[in-house]
Amino acid sequence: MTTLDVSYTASLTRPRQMRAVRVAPKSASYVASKTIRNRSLDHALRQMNDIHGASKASIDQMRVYLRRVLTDEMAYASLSNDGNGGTLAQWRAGRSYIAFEVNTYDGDSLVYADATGQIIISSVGADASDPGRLHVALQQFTEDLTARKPEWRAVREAHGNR
Amino acid sequence: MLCAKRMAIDDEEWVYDDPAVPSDAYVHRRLNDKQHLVFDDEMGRFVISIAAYRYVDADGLSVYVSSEMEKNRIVDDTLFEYCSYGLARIQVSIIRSPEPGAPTDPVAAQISGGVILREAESFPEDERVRKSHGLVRIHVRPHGKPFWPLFRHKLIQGSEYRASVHDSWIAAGAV
Repeated sequence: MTTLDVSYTASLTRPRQMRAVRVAPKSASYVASKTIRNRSLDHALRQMNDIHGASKASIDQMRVYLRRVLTDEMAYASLSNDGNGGTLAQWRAGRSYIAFEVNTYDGDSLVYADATGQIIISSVGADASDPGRLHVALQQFTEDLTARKPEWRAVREAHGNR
Repeated sequence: MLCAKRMAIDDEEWVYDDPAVPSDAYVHRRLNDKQHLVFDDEMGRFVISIAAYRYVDADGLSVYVSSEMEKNRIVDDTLFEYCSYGLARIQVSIIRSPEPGAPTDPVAAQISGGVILREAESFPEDERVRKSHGLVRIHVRPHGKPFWPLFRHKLIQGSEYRASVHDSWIAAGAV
C-alpha cells in the first residue's frame, strides 16, 4: 500500500487562495532595463542568439557585463565568437577600437585603442572583467566617434545594424 | 650569420622567426568567416575584425608568405579561390617591429613577433599554395595571454584588406 506524505496531501487540500506567494522584489537595474530606452543594449542583445561557436557560459557572462555597462547613447557593439570558444564584443571607429573577450578557458581580456591608435587599456583576467574599465573606455570611444561622425547611428542602421 | 629566433620553453624549442623570410615580404591571411569582418562606425563599411587574428591550433596564425608565393609562381589572386570574405595582408617588418608601448609597458617590452615557413599538410590541393604557407608566431606558445592581444594590435592597425580580385588593397586600420 502506498503511503502519502502528510505535508504533501495537506498542500493539495489547502484552498488555493490561502497559499502564500512570495514575489522577490525586482532590482532597480532590472526595472530600469525594462522601462528605459537603451538602443545600445537592445542592439547587443539581438545579436546574442546568432553567436555560434562560443560557449553558453561565455555568452551568458557577456550578457551580464553588457547589461551593466551599456547605456542608450553608447556606440553599438558587434558580437561574435572569439575563435576559441569565448565571446567577443568589438567596437570599431577608424584607428580606435575596443575588444572585450569573455573566455572561460583562457581568461577575459580588454584592449582599448583611442582615436590616434594608441593603446590606452590592455588588461587580462580580473582587471579586464571590471565593468568600470569597459564603461569608461566606451564613454570615451563614443565621445570621439560622435565628434568625428555625428550620424554614426543612422549609418549603422542603414547597413542592417550588424 | 642569420639565426632563427628561438625560445626554450617547457623544455622544447619554440622557433618563432625565420630570417629566410624577408622583412619586405607580406603575409596573407584568408578571411573565411563573416565574423572575420566587423562594421567600422567611422568609415561606414566593413573592416577586418579582431576575430580574423585569432587561431585555435597550437602552431601559430596561418598565413601565406609572398616571398614563397613568388618562388612558387602564384599571386594573391590565386588565394581568392580559397577564401569567402577576402584577404588581409601585412608586411613582415611590422610583425617584427617592437610593440608601440614597449618603452613604458613591461608586458609589451617582452613581446617579439616573427614568421616561419611551414608547408601546409593537406589543404588546398594546389601544391604551390601549400608550399607558400607559413605561420605568424610570438615568443611564447599559443594562446600567449597577455601577449597575443597586445601583439594583435599591430596586425589590426597595420593590415590592408582586399575584398575580391576586382578590388584594390586598402588600409584596414587607418582612416
